[in-house]
Amino acid sequence: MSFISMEFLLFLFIAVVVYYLLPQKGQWIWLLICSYLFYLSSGIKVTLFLVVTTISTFGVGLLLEQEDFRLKQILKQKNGNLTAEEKKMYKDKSKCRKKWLLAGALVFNFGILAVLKYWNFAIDNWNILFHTEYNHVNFLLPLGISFYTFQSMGYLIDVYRKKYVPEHNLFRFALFVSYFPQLLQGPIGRFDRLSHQFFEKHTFELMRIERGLQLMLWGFFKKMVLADRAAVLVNQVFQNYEEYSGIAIIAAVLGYSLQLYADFSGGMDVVMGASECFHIKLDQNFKQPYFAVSISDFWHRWHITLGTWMKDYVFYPLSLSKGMNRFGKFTKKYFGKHVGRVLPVCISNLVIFFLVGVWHGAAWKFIAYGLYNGIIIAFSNLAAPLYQKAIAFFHIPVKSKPWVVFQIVRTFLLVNIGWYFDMGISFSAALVMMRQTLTGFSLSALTDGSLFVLGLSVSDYAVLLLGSAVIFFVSLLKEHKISVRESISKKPLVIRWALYGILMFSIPLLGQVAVVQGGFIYAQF
Amino acid sequence: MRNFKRKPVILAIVFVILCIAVTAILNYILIPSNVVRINLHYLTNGEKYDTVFLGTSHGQYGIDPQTVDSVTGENSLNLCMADEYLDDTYYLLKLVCETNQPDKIIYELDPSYWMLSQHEGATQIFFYKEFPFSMAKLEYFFGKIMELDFRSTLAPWGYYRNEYKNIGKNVTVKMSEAYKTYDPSVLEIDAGHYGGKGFIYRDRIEGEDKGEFNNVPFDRAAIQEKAVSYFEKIVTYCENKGIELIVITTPVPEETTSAFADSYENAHQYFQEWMDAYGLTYLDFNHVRSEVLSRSMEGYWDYDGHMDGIRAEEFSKVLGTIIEKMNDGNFEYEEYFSEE
Repeated sequence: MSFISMEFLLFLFIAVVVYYLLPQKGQWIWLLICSYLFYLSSGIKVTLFLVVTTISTFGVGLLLEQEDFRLKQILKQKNGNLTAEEKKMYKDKSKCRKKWLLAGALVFNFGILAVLKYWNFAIDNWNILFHTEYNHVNFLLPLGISFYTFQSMGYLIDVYRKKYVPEHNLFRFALFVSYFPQLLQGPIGRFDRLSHQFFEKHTFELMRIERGLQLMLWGFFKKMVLADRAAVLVNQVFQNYEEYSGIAIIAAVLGYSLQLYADFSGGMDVVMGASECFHIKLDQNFKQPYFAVSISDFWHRWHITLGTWMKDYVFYPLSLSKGMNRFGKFTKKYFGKHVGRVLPVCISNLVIFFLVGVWHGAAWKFIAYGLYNGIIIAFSNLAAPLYQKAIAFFHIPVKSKPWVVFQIVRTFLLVNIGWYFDMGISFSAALVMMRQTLTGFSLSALTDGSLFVLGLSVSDYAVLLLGSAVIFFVSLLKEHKISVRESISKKPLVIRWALYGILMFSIPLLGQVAVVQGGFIYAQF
Repeated sequence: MRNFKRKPVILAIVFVILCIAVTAILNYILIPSNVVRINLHYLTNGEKYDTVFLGTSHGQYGIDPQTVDSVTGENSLNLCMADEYLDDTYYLLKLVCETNQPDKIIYELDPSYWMLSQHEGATQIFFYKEFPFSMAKLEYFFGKIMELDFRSTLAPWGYYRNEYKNIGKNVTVKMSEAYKTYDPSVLEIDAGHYGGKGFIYRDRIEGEDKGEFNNVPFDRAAIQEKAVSYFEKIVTYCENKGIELIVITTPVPEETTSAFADSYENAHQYFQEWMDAYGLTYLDFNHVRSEVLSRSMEGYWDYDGHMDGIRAEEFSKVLGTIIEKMNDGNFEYEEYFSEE
């Protein structure tokens, strides 16, 4: 069920109406029913994968808790009769069993994801390496599998770490995994922030519904007016990259910057707006990413929930592991204090961004995209002392506006270089496009009309520019802690709704009819 | 619902009503009059039809029901229309059966419609929009329209937003008596006219540029699951209703079949196998004997195989004769078709 379909709007409408008619106890059950109906609309077979992940994660969560309970019981029973060594032995054994339980659940669930999503990629590479001719396997790919797998595994790791006690009700847990607004494209939720909201009492408030719909409307505007329009230019150039060079490629890459942001953040707005209608607040996934002053900062603002997931469950365990600690000491001995401190972090970052690349898709270009980001962050970490010295030497006022603007522009440029890999049809195509951007560069393309044969007309470019300007100012205000949503909420009802009316009618008036079916880009992960 | 406040809710309802009103006005002034509306009026005007043709633009330009009827002595209606994909055909069939009890459905099969996806936008809702309120419309909505971009249902005017220059004309036409009485004179048809009962008569223009080959080469692998599934639904539906289903492919110019011989032959074999499996009669008029019907280029206005009015009359006579012979049980395939 695509978020831009009539089906979804009707489904949401019915879900919200019934939700507020039900008593508190019934509300979460209704949400669970809706979530499964929503997922079942994409097929029964794919739903089985969701059920398997839910049950396996729930079960292992309980087993982890049981193991702690068992240890406590043993220690209690044998209180006073155990030596410190024996106590340690029991604790180690218990820890070991928990580790195996966790590892088993992680391997099982990530294994499902890996096989369904990456098996054919592995076969392609195997065939190339060993000159074999194994055929692709036509696997079902459940919608949103990356999102719900990451969300479930995050829960399990937290339970293992005793961050919170596991959920004891399978159905309540099933709702956490399958909550329909966020199921297809995130954000990747955390149990402690999300789950309790489902079971609180939610009463009908028109203002809340209004705010939810307002956010959805804004998301649809970004998607249909900007992202789908920019997609015309982007697809034309990226899919026929041999025919284009210079300014045309730059226009397409900039177009992709806009398309991806408007599509993904627009999707998030729809998701969060829909969730707000149920009075369930989801984690923010975007924080004005194009105002980032470094690549590292960019990843703190772009797809935030994936970044924090990676940080909490991969980066910290890896960078703080015993092996990394030993490696840090080793490098400190031979390369000095700074390198000794930073290199383990850099390596952990490279691993993280390799995984981020793999998460984006089963292709080398995505791995290159991830590593590109990881390398820049690693390099900037390693070169930080030199950078500080240069700043001091040139007396650069680092807090001045021009310097911040320079950093923003520099980061935006670096981000755009990364898009070559992300959107290019292959790794080699991305490299060819980079070369052609430089070799075929000519400013005459700006005036000879060649930009107008890329699928967009003058009015299309005007809509894109105007729309980008609107997004820019909204983001700029947000960056200065001024929320446009809040400001609108404080306006008189007539003005508010007149604004909604304008926004609503601007979608069919200015919206592009999508070139491909399938709705939001990130709904395919 | 404890925090229920009446005033904002009333205002919200007023807002929704206002939006609906604006949308209705925009639909009225921007969406032009179209042939589907006229065709569906023929279907629902109370007249009873023995045979209904369903299919694509090839049938729309090639089958004149009045000529067919002059041979068979029956009453038929042509609901073949441009951009009518198999899902549209299925719901049209349902509407046909809701308003009529035809003995025969003749489905005009264009292989490209089995391979291509319908363009997003106006054409996806073209037929649905003109359906009279009926169970078929409801099923159409839940079966197809619900899955489309919500703009299709909530703001179809958006697909015609660039036609703002025609607002004056649209309003004049829609307010005219001719429009209200479903007079086909309100239609604007290039080099032709509405020939009645769904048929469009295209004039033969001497020396006309017939464009280039633009047919979609047949590829079994490109056949869409959706097309197959809807065709199966059509077959089952006709079976359940006791309606005879006949499948035809209208003839395309010899030049086209020669240029894409393999493609046409593969398509013929594929669909012949299919129809045999379903026990359906399949008449591929690309295999029609030359002495029965000419496929010379002069009778077409493009290489894709859209017939002009003169050729359409000839084809409709042949089709009518075959239908009549089938009705009488003395149709001999070899008399009209060859396997070459």
